[in-house]
Amino acid sequence: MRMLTAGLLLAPCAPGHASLGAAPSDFGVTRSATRARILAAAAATSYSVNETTLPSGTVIREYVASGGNVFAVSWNGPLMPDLRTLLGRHFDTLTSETAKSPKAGHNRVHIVRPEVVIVSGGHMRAYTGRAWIANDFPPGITAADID
Amino acid sequence: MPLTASSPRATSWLARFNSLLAAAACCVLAACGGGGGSTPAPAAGASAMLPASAIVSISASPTAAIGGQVLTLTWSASNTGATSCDASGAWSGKVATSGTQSVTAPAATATANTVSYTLNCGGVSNSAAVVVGAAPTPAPVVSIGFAPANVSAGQSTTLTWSSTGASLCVASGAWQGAEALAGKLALTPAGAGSFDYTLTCSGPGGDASASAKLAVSAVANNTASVMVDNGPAGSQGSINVPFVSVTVCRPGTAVCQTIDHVLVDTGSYGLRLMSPLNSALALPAVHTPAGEAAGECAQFVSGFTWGAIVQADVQIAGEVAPAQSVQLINSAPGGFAGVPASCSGTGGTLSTVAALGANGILGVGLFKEDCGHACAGAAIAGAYYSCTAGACTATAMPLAQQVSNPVASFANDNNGVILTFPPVASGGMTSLAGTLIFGIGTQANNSLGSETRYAANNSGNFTTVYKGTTMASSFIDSGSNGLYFDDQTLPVCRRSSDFYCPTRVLSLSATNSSFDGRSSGPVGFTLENLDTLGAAITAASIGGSNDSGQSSSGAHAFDWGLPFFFGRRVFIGLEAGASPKATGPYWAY
Repeated sequence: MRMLTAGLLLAPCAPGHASLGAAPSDFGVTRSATRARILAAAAATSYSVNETTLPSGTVIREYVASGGNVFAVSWNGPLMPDLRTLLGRHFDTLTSETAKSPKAGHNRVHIVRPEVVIVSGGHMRAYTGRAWIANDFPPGITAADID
Repeated sequence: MPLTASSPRATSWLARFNSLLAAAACCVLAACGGGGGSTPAPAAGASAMLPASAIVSISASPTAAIGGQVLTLTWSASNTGATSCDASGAWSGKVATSGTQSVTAPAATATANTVSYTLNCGGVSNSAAVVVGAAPTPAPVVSIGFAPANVSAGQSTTLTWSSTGASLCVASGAWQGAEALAGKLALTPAGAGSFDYTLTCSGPGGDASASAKLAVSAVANNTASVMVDNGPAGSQGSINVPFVSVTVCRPGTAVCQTIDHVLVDTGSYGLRLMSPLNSALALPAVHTPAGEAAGECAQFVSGFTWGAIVQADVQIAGEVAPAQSVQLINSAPGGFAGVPASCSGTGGTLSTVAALGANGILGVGLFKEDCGHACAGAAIAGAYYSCTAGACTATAMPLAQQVSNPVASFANDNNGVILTFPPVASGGMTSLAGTLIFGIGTQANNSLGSETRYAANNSGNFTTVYKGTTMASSFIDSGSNGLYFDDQTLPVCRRSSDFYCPTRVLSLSATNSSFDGRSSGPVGFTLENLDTLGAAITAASIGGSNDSGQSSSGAHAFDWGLPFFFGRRVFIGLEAGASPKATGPYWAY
């Protein structure tokens, strides 16, 4: 699925204290970039990406649908972000799933549920992860678009 | 480092030459002051009627020289009646009755070292004497050195020496006898100690000595056995988790405790142990810059470990890392009970043996500190905390106090590790014994031979290409219990849909490259069916998905977990600067 970047748009969203599945989160730092993307195939559909660089150097992205809700997030950097804030109500899914995986490794989270997908990997000093709510994807969006 | 020395004999020769010069100066003064020998001096009380005395004077400057040196002769004749003078002795010809002239001093001979410049003017003559010394022969120069100068017993080193101005060299100290004027000698010291290799070389100009020091450290037992088994008491069982025993001691004492079933993790850095330890250990707290007890939230993909930072001497096999910052998981830094919200917000807790599946984690990956400069420069929530009983607040933590890979602090074997396991046949094994070897190229058992070296980037990643997909954040991690990568064509398991369960053992391949593309090579691996493995199996070549729906960025990873180490000898090279010998970060296999 190819997309064209339509240039910068101002993000109209106000900081809140909920995230995936709700309004974008407030990490107490200035967002480093806000981008908007418009699908070439469905020009009426658009979403924006809020990108924030945390003091640790970790970069987080929140994918915000035109209605204002976050439908996907990602993180990439030397330390984990505050996933409780970033994942919102889906944080409990993360902790309950990681707590009950006998013989699981110490290095992978791969949770696939109808209501949310959470994948997390990497190692000390280099963590990456993504989470999304497929049901909230704007038309034409797939998981491959979340990076 | 080569050493040079000049000869004591050469010094004393110079002293003797200087005293000769002083004696020669006295001589010439006497010759000149007398006004010449062949003309009678005017008698005391002689009348003015007598003709004026004829005087010939001549002097040389300097009055002492080496052969070939240019001298200046100055002379004058008065009342001799002569219109010219005859030169003889060390010079010749007719010269004016007064003048100056440059002459070259002749070389000294075996029988004479004084030359005379004589002038005869109308029968009156005088001489200037010049002491001529032989040109000093340069003293020999000797250079000698070891490369390397610090080795462990059993490791080879090379002694290299050379000399100039010498005709004979004799060894002394840790070696004996006549030696060539220049040469090399390969040595493999068997015992520990400090050894001085001295070489004294003699020549016409004297003799000279130089020494090289070789420091040989005792061979530490650098080999720890690693077991892949069902895990420690209190765990829920495990598969593909490598365990080692680690001993911690109160710093500088023999009050120690050995902890079994500590996870060997090439994907993290530093030692973390589950509390409580023996109360007799009384490991001292590490303090923050604010002077409070230090706590840490160590992050792992599957959760966090929270606890105080304490100081301990860390011993593994025969290696010792003194005064290390160690995380004591599930302890209360400064008396603070609980976990800061900014720590628990990073994931689920791993702060119990059941959750961690181990009694601790020994991080022996590519880096030294667990966080590094990011945490030294700023207070970062979710990393280091300054704690009192009432609260823990995020703090910056100097590098030296951060929890660190103890390998970097070993005396000799401090530039990395090797982790190796025998091959595991299909069907898996109920237990597997492997080896953790400390140091790379520091002892006979850890040299880097035909293995290819793959440099990692400053995040500790390199590149894997699998089925045409390039994954630039790939890594080798003994703390991952499977090979984790995305391949949606592979069937998933019934038992766990995020593992792959091919109907029969699959042989697959990928290509690994250093992060900068300078080295590259194919890597084969197998995948077997998790559903059909026996319940008691603890080691098997299994794998699963680490993503669903690949991102288009290509930034994701192939996680080469423990099965990668089966049948391989994998070198984990510490980042340059982590220790004097470190040249990484790199992997080699």
